[in-house]
Amino acid sequence: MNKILAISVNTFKESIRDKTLLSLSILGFLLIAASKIFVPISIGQAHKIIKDFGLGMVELFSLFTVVLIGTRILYQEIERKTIYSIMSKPVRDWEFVFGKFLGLYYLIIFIQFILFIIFILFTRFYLGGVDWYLLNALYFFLFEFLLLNALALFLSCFTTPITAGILTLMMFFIGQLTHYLKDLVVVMKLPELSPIVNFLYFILPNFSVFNVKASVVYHIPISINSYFLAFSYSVLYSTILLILSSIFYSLKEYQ
Amino acid sequence: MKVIEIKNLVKIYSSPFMRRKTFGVNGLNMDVAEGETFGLLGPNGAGKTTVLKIITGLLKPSSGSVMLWGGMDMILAKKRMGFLPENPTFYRHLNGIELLRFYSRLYDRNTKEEELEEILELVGLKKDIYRRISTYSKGMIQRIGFAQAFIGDPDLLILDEPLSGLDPIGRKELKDLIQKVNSSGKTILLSSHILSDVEAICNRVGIIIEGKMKKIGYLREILKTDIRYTDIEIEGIKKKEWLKKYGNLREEGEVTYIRTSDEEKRDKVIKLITEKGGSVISVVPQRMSLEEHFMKTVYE
Repeated sequence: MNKILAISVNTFKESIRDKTLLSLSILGFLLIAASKIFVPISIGQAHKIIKDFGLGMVELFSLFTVVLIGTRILYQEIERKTIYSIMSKPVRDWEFVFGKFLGLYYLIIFIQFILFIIFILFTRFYLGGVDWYLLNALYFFLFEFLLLNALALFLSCFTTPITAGILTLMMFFIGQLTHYLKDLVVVMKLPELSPIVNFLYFILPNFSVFNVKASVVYHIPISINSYFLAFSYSVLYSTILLILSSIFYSLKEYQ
Repeated sequence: MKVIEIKNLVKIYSSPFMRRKTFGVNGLNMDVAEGETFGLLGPNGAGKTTVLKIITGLLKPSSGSVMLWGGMDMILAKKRMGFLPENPTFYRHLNGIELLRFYSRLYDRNTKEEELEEILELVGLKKDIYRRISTYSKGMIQRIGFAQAFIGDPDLLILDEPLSGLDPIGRKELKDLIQKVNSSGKTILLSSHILSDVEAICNRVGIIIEGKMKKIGYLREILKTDIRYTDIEIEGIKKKEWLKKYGNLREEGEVTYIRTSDEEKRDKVIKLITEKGGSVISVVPQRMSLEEHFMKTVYE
């Protein structure tokens, strides 16, 4: 456990210095602040539009972080040859993979907290009060990006960072729509496709379980089952992906 | 006891999209005994680094076996091993002590802060412990590389080109350090291009050519076998013309040297000199240097 913690803390410390992250954070801050431009054009809906836009920005910048930094995190170690002095020490492949995964996850938590604080302060300043109900979205974001982080790491085990980045983006957007797959078979009246669609439905990550933005913005109560589903689905799926990542990673050689 | 035992080691590099296969190592056999300083020599691309990476678990052998301490589990073996890679690179955002602290946490035991500072002192980086790695010179990177290899007080040190890129002072200091570490009973396996350094540090060497071990043995035995000629230093002989039939004559002031490559002539001339009232100051056999051996093995 000490080894995983050491690798994860080091990964976090290294990633936080990444110039890409700094650019993303500044852009994130500016875009959250830019939501103010919607106030004059939103007839009586300013509160909702600003909240919706702000939550969207937090999600978008978390996504960029995973795609731009997360998919490079394993590759960089090999490319810069820092891996030699780590893997020649008594470190197992899975300990290294879990350590890198956690390090990146600390970074995502850090970014989401920072962006959320900016967002909350912004709503306090422009909307005249803090909407604490928004924090529910943070809970779902944390589990959504736990899963996306594991997915990015898994894909980067056997592809280049660019390919892994594109695939991660694709999986994220497809994952928002997987719940429509089953409806598609019914609407299109194609029962013969049902086994394939069912297979895809179960194998592809379903990110819609984390989408509570509308409920949060419109103050619609979120059931306890949704909290539990988001937690259990994310942890279980991520664990499977991390186990697979460790297996793929153990096949790697450091030439 | 044998610390490393390698039998019929083969490493094939192949690309999934190319049919061509390259042999990194091709049927290599070698062993390193406890307390030895073993030097792995060979031209570029001979397979030295591949062998070291297989031993440290960074590469997997295609066939053959590598046994550490008689077949110890790799993770347990790694706890007893320190590795300095060729042209090492480290996390640039950390300083010297932070880097060692990070590596020490990769072992299951807790390393005290004083122990880490001692290691940094040993490699000559005590005053730079709070300096960022990104500001280190090449020589300092090599030293911190030694330092991370010393963490956990390993019984076996594997050093890939440990003296490359260093200035003469740095080379001398790190050479002394290797010898000091070896004198404390640790086993050292190193690869190097600098043959004079290997000659000074190692007691056993192996020469790898195209992935195969071409020559292996104790340095003194390898060097002993080929006496090219003997220089005899004499004095007290006035008429020297007769000496010419025993070898080349060379006079440097009062001192005369005879260089002979024939053992019979050597013994005979020594006997005659003493009989004629002269004295033999020294008899120095001139052996082939490791470099000459190396070149001979490469072109054989």
